[in-house]
Amino acid sequence: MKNQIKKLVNTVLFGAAILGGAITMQSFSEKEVSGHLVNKGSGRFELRSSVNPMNCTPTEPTACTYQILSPENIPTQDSYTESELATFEANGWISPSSSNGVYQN
Amino acid sequence: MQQLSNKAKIASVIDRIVQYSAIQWLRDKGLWVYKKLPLGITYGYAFLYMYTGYDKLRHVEVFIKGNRKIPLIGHYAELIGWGIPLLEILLAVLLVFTFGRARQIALRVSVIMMGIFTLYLLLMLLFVPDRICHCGGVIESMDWTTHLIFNLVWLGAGIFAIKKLNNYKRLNLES
Repeated sequence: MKNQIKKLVNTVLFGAAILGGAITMQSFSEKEVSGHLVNKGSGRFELRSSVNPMNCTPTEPTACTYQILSPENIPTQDSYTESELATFEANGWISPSSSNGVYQN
Repeated sequence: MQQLSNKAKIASVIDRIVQYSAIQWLRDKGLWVYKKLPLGITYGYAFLYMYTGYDKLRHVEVFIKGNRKIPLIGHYAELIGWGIPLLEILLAVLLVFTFGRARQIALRVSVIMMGIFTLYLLLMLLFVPDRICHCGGVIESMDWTTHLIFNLVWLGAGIFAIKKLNNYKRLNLES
């Protein structure tokens, strides 16, 4: 009986550690990467928490991914236009972080 | 001369004992790891689903919006947008906090879900040029082929775990 209780407590603690670890890792990875704007083609850009620069198809004259340098100045939107991107870049809030292309993910 | 020969014999015997012990130790440890592997995979699934489910839930609006663009399932974007992360979190909780049959069912559902995600990736890779994946966190940063391999490895591991756990009377590894 004592062994069973010990085993149950161990399982619960280990389970809590696993789930807590997953939540912590998610929060940590989000904090570490402030965000990127990715080129989805036709003058449309979207926000991604992380990017892989290899995931670009070189069919666009503009950069595939942009690193956000000033997250506090970038409004949260579902998508961004080319002119908005040009403004952000002119203000130094973002910087191209890959070659030209369309982001595939 | 005789003494030297005896010493060499003793050294040889000790050497064999040490070698045998090392092999025995490695064999025992290997067996222990092999026996615990299904449980490790179960916890791995729990970690993965909690991580991605929590990430999707935190960005649920973006996730729903992305789902709307997917052919065929776009009409159910909202249902899928809330359903998938909640199901992932529920499965993660069930995988770590239940025993026996309940955990076995949770693992099976988890593996089936991984199969569906893998099929989705495969279809996207084969047929869709502008692909959409709101897979959550760092997984989102993988390229499509890496993501497919990642999913296939987890799918294989899940099937292995189900097969192995079928041999146990209880899922807490009391065989």
